[in-house]
Amino acid sequence: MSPLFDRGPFAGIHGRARELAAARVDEPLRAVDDAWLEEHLAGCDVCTLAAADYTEQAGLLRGLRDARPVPPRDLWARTAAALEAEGGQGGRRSRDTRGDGRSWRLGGLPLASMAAVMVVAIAVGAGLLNGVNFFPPHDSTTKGPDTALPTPFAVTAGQVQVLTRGEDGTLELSTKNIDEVCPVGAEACGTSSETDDTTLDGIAGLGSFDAVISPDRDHIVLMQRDGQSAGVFVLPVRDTTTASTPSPTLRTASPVPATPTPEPTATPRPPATPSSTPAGSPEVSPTATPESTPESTPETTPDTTPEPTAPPTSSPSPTVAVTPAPDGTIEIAHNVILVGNVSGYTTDGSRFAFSARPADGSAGPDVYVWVTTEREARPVTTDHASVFSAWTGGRMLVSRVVDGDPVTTLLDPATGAEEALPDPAIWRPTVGPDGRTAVWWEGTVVPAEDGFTWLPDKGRLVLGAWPQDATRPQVLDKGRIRDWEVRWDETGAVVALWVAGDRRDAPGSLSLYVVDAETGAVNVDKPLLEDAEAFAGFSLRSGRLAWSAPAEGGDTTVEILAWSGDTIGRLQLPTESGVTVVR
Amino acid sequence: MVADLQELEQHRHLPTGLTVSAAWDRDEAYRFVEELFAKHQNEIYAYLVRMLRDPELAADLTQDAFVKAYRAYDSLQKPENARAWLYQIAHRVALDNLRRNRIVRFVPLVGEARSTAPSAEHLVMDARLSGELQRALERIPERQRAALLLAELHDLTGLELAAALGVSHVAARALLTRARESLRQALAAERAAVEAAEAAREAARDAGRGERRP
Repeated sequence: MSPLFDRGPFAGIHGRARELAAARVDEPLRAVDDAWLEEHLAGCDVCTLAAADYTEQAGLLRGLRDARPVPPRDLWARTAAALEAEGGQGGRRSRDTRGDGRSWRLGGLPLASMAAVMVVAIAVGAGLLNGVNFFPPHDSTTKGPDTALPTPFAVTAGQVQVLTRGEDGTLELSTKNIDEVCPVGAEACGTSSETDDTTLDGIAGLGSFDAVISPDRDHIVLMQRDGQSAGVFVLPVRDTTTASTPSPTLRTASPVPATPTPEPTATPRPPATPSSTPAGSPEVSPTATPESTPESTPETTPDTTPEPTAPPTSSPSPTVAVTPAPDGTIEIAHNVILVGNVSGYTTDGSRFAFSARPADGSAGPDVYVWVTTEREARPVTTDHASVFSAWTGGRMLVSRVVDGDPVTTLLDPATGAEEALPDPAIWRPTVGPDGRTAVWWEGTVVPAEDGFTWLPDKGRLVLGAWPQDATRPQVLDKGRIRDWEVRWDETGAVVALWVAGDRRDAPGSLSLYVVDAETGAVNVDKPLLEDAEAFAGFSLRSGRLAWSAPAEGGDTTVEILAWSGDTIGRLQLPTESGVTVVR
Repeated sequence: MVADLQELEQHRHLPTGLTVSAAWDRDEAYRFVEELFAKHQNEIYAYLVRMLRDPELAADLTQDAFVKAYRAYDSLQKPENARAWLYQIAHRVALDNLRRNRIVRFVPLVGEARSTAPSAEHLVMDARLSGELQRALERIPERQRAALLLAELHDLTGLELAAALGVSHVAARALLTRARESLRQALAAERAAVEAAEAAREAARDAGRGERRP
């Protein structure tokens, strides 16, 4: 493995010496650290020079104090006018500008009318970004920014899909064809890209949700995220860029499942609350779980708040039921609560995995797999203590907590056979498309507030060689991380990392890194995008990174980075209400 | 300790510690911000200039920071924390702007519409802050740069620094330590680049002298 994984600034003994020497500039070290440092410096000229550099730089910085810039004389007059305007118009009003003199926000245009929206966009030569041409040449009709002002110029066509909710609760799927961006310097430019809008009648009433489109782009999995009773739906969609064939798995009648299928009236849409089940347990098809036995149904589980570290039980996992809809929508799971942000298709799109637990609180999470030729998702773990981590080939990485420690194993969902990893003490690894690198949590986990799941505690989020070897991984983040999501694009050229905010409803931060094609390492110090505010659920594919972000006045915007050839642009699409980016 | 601003939005505390349940007193907020402005405008403006390297933009954002302080007036729990609280607002304003304009900032020659002829003030500031140190500061990540500026030039204490950056004390210290190493490497790179450029110029001069010799 490349030594690039070792290039952390304070790696090794000399790194520790430099770290202590740098820290000593700001505050005294503990006696033991100070003694160790002195001893090290006595025998290490390089570290002694580094220590002298830290002292010198502190002096240089303090020297800048004399050059304190003076604010313009009219600054108070301008500020006072702004304050008076605030007070005179109801205090906390939102503003149309963002303080930098640019009219970024384009008004409250609903996404449904995005077809001719003026998009705010910036495009630059990526070759100028840190002197590196991050993206491979492309034979598109891309024009350089020098020749394009102020007309939009083309990038390779690609789609961004978002879901919005109408006032009546219906969902609308908007497919935005991104095929041009604006040149550098243009604050806005007109684009003529088409937007295809589809109303999804079958699933009105969902709360917040995640949306994942299949690799063939012929159906979308919608996962409800109310924190209470929830459902997982599959909707057929039409690919507007190609003459895609309808999904035979959704439009045509699937083989009659071997398990009893509830009557449609028994599974109303939106899903019934747990109270619809007298025992407070999810509906269970006993034979839906291969390992289950009829007498082991979970409705008699007396403990509704089991400890997260409770030993796994052998009771069957909760229900999965099917509710066909006239438009082809099916509900592949209900009365469950989704766990974590991780879910996804296999590369060939034949299976979809997610983690869920019973909505009635009778058990912890299990991993579910929906085979796209079937009509329901089935649990592939039964210990009520497992979460889906990633697909790797036909098998999946499953993480669970054993005796308080995180453990990850490789599971064959078809046979249930598990294989231990070389170093299983990791949490939720996600493997890159080439299978050479992965991102995982290295550290401890603690029980979450729900009493069933776990959160990272002390440790770090790292990117390292896969399968793991002795090389030191790169640290992407550390400290308390409530949740995260990592995704490479299909080529493996870039990787995006979203880290959750401090609270469930707060936005997290999204960063995009260029991947070294040779080593798989990323340049953490020079991200293409660093800590952009972002809600959960971003999309990264086909030269597009799309995410939703808070905007002033409580609105939401869809932010898009689009690249093609040697150009990269940024688009901003305003919306009036909450929006979910289909990933 | 200054609480998270968003979290504080849910509370309604006057600087005196009295709690109100509904609307806050706009006149009182105005007077408070006016006083805050008189006391801290210079350092907030200086911080924003140093972060953004654009005096005009820094003035706009200083104004923005004080307006945000006015809006969030009722979120300040302890008046003695007002300075760190104000720095926290200014820091977020600066980072928001840098992130929004990140891509443009990499292309100064063909980029922003605002980058026309530099103002006299800009030139003076550039002269003051130019050189290896300023260029090296530009090279390091923004959060690290902010930590260095706040600690070394603006004299924020450890707790104030943590509050301004919106992180824990330990995280602020770690960020500062990483910043010092990043700056050390950036300074070394700057000096190497300067030396290489001087060597190239020297070589060119030598070559010119050689050609003129008979």
